Amino acid sequence: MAGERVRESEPDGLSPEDYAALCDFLRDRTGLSFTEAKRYFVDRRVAARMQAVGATGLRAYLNLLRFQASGEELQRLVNLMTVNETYFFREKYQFDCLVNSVLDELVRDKPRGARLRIWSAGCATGEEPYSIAIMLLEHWRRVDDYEIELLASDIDSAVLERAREGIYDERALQGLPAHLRAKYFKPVRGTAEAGGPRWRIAEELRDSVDFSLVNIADPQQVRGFRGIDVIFCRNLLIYFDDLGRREAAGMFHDALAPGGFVCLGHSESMSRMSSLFVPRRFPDAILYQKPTDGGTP
Amino acid sequence: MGLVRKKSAAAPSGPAVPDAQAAPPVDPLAALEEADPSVRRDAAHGLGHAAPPGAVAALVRRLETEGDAGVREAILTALARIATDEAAAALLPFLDREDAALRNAALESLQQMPAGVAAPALLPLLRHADPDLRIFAVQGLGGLAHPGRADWLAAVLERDADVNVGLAAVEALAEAGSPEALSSLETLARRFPDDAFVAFAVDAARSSFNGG
Repeated sequence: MAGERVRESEPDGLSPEDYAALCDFLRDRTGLSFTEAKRYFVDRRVAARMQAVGATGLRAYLNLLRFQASGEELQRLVNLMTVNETYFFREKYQFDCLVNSVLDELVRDKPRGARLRIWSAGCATGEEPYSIAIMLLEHWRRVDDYEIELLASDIDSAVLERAREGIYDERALQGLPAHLRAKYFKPVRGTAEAGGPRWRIAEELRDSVDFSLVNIADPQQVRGFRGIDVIFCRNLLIYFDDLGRREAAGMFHDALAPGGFVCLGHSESMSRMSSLFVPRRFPDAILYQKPTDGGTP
Repeated sequence: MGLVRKKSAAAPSGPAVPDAQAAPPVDPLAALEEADPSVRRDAAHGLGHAAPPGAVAALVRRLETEGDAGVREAILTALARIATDEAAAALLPFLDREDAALRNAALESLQQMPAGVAAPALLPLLRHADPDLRIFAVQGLGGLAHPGRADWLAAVLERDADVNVGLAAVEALAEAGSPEALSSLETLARRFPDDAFVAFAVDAARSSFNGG
């Protein structure tokens, strides 16, 4: 038990033993992995939460995280620990790949009217799934021939609420062409004075993305994701250790339909995580494909 | 058609909380033998995170016959996560299989274990009669963060009779870039003076140590 190594915190931050115990706990419960290099980052956030709940020391706080029936405090800590830096059309070449190559390949053997399922895992405040929706509507000529289901998930409940609201500031919209901003966003009144102008994404798009709170390290929570055609999981697995990444890759493999694709962040490589997928080079990007036979040995 | 309206406008649901009224928890050891691959995969994953007595034996037994790639990977990952001496030892026979994907995945699992667990399992393989297994041992040990690593690889360069095992050690040392291995590299070059590829590999390793 990690808790057995815990002693009460020192005023100047967590002791090495405490830090290790906390990291073990977080990795086990959430898949998130924090190295010694993240020490300052973790220390500050844990100290803030311990103060907020009035914990007398790390042992007491870990007990709260471990045994609180609602899981509310763990959720609050996770919300603080995950960084959500994103904007519309980030790494757009991957969305180009989706609409120029991947979707046409996926529907080659599907009848008109069939369903396609796209999952944005680690969607943060929603820019990624909404970008996918806009790309489909604007750039995939066969969008009306198929039923396209957009799923989006994150481990952070606070960002999901913001994703559902669909309100964004100038920085989030910086990569969006003006005509698309005009077409899919409306200015939010009264925000220009309070911290800069903000825009709300069209209701049609808010209604087309199904957001859910999911910890991808927990198979129970991922069970609802089956028969997925494309998974976007960009810059999320950087928070995981090697084994956690390998497990996540296995979970994606299970969630995908045969022949389905995973799209990772530009600095991530599936070949360093798992051998279950085949790299596929398209004109716009490299994606990773689940073999059509499921990869049977 | 086009974008499908989402199922509900309700707030995002929270993580699944165990329900007292739900079906009784399944025995993960028994679930490894279920017909549905997803159930077997989840069982393997669960055993990796909480291994009851008999878990390693059950996982290895399932791995012997498992035909689903995803389940096989989940078992191999679970053994890496369990990371006991028993789990490490149980992976060794899979390094000798015809199936290259299985061999590589088993080696990867050993490398993902703590070095203090993986090294004692791999070290005896350096003396195995089969040079292919010695190469695997070199590759496995070469990927571990262990203080004895450079010495083990140097010993291979100085003593192993098979040039390919020696070259595997050169590669492992070059990747780590430990300059103290230079003298062992020179030894390998002297032991196989007529092998052009050894000369090339040793040159390449030498220049990588010298920042070339």
